[in-house]
Amino acid sequence: MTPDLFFVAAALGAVVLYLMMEPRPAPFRAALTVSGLAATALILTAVARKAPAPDELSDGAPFGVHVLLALVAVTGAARMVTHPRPVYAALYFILVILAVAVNFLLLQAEFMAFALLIVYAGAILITYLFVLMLAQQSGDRGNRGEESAWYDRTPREPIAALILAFVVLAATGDALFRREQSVPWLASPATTAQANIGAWDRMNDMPELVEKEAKAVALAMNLPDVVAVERGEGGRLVRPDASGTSAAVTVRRVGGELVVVNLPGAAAPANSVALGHALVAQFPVSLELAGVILLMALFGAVVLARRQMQMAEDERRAAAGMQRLGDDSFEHGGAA
Amino acid sequence: MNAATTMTSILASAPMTPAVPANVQVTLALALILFAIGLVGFLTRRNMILMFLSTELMFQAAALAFVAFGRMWMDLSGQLMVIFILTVAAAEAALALGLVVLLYRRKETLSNEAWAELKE
Repeated sequence: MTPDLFFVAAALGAVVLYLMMEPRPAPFRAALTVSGLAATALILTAVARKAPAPDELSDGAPFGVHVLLALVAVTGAARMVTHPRPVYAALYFILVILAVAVNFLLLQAEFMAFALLIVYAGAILITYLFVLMLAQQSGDRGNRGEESAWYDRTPREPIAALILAFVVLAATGDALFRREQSVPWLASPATTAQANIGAWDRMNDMPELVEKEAKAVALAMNLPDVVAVERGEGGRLVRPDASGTSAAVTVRRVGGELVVVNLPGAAAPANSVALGHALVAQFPVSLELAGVILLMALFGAVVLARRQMQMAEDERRAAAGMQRLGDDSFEHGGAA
Repeated sequence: MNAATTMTSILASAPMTPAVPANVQVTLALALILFAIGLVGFLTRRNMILMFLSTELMFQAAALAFVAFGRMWMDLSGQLMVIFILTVAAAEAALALGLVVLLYRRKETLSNEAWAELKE
């Protein structure tokens, strides 16, 4: 593929996005959808397969599924920023979240995939929908009977915005994909082994998990009388081999005999277990920081809600011809 | 490779296989495109709520890039950053939407141009 294909496809995408910003008749919309999908697919083919990979390499996530998810996500995002009705825009954003969550699954981030679904689609988007519906009740309908408010139908400075976005996309895409070997795309065997050994090392903090897995392996080896797991050399429970594909554990049988069993790769902690361990053992400060941010948001929301209640109270008092609440008006109003 | 081993290799954490470069590249390209579309949405939308929704789209793009790079380097810190992004997004949604409702009660419109005097 010629490297310039990326820029051509990005420009085509920008033009399609511009044309999507005004309401169009159905056949024209279909043509726009097709050309937008084509532009996205062109970008994807322009960037993919930059690095040669060994033929037998497979991480269980087929290339076609990644492309399909990308097309779904881009369609949802494009409709989201161009749809004239805000509630539909929010619903299209849920489509984007679903596609991104499945993408997380394929990238072996199961915990993040479900956290994204629960927090984003379950909580944040519902809040958005509530506020959209709260703020849609009156006043905003056009006087010619349109379905949506004027400010949802007329984009602001679309050409300048699209040029800026195109420049951002082209510059980052150029930095990432066009320079030869700008990024070492394929992890080296050393990196892989180090990551696997790191995954086994986490298990040293989880003695109950080690004992459960070691007993299962021992049972499969016809050793049903394992009573405990012993620390080996270096005081470590789990001793991974050099490539990190398996790990040795010493177990004690009833008679006191020590046996070394080899845990298979499937016995290593799964993604959510490893993530929880890393969060608490490796990055405790970021966990605390997240808690502080949420607490501050809680305080802020309470302050805002109190102000809203006071405003509502003020309106009612004004309607009843009474003086407003609040220090200033209370003093002066009381004097007069 | 049959379906059962495919599922195990998607979900197993060790021994981890290196990510297929083409898959990571497609995911990163998707992140770039989503970020650009979110930027367009933030700049062209006049509805304050949808401007915030567009920033959420840019958050999604950043999260996707974090997870893809984390997969490429087989490192969990990318996913930990996404936990952080989720926290910030939740806090932002709570506060920004509360402010938007307050503004809406003042002027009965969601258009950001009703508040143009704020920029002076």
